[in-house]
Amino acid sequence: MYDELKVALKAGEIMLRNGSETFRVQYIIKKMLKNLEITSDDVVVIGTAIIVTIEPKKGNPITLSRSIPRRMNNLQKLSLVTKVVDDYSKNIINMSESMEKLNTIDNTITYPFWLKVIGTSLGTFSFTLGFGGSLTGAIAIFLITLFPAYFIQVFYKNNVPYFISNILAGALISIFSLIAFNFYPLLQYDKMIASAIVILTPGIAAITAIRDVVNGDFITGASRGMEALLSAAGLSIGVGFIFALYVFITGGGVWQF
Amino acid sequence: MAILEIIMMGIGTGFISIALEASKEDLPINAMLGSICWATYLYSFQIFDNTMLSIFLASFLISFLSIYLTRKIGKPLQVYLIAGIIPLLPGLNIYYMVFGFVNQDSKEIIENANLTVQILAIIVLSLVFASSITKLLKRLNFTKKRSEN
Repeated sequence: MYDELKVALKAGEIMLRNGSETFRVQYIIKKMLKNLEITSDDVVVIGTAIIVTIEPKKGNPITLSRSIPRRMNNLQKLSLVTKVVDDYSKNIINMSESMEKLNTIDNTITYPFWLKVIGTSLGTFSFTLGFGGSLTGAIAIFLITLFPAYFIQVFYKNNVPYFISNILAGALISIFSLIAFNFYPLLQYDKMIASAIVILTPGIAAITAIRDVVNGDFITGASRGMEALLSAAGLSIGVGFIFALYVFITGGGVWQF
Repeated sequence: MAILEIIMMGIGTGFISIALEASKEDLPINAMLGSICWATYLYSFQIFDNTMLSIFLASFLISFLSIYLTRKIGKPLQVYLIAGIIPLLPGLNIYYMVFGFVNQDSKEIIENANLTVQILAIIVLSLVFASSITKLLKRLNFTKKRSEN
């Protein structure tokens, strides 16, 4: 029974760490426990922890918990864990196979480091054109976001707090945008910045937070909302500080649309 | 021009999905969702001339499609929903809010913070609507099948 609970917790842990909502983590764990001979299961999931208690028909209750200090978005891992949980609950795979598969998923690297950096920059390039920007602007934003995208990945790898990494990434975008602006003042900066900021805005975190609240989990919703707010604040501080410094040094405006 | 914008939004969503670590087979689907989202937004804005209504319609359609794909392919809703709504995320409003901080313009800060919250709330509201309607349709279908038997 203890081993089955560990497998269920492992699945929940991977889901929560990779950006799943709490109600889905709860659902996944309960689904994995449904074939056990237990009288009750109690699954508590908040943004940073999972606590599960089961009462076996024979023997003492078992409680296990996991803490999740850092979270990110990895859509592939969410899909793979869901598949493993489906197979396990339908008895297609057994417990040890499930654990093995979950460990493999946990250690999987979906895309190499360089591809994520290039992907982010190409995304902002396409978004600039999508927002109606010019080709010159799109090329400029591609080059501008290469460095922040690289540093975001480096910061994450080195466990730099997201608040600090957002300040630095926002500052880098502003510095490179100002350099480009001084070289070529005719660029459409509103469209460029809108595309560049998409990679940093905590929109996804904010939506997950509101979805948690809608599903009745106010604690996680509030904490995720706070996380989104802090990310936005970090971004604002980074961008705002460089702009203010530029205005202070040059004595003029940043730019007018 | 609008067609090029719609295509580029789709391609952009596909590339951003790489950063979100979506699996390879989901990248074209995500790109398609990004294009559909932006096309719905652009055309409904042309018809109604109302930003919030256009965002609602676009995210409602994406929520519906994401729910359908989730049931068809068997992956979590988030895989398609998050990527599909990326073009609607209020990046520009956050930028203007920051711009307001720099210029010490309280009106601009409040206006854009308000818009950001409104857009995010509308996206979630549309998802709640779409999932409620899907559940209702499923229930109606189930009742109909049971009465036939």
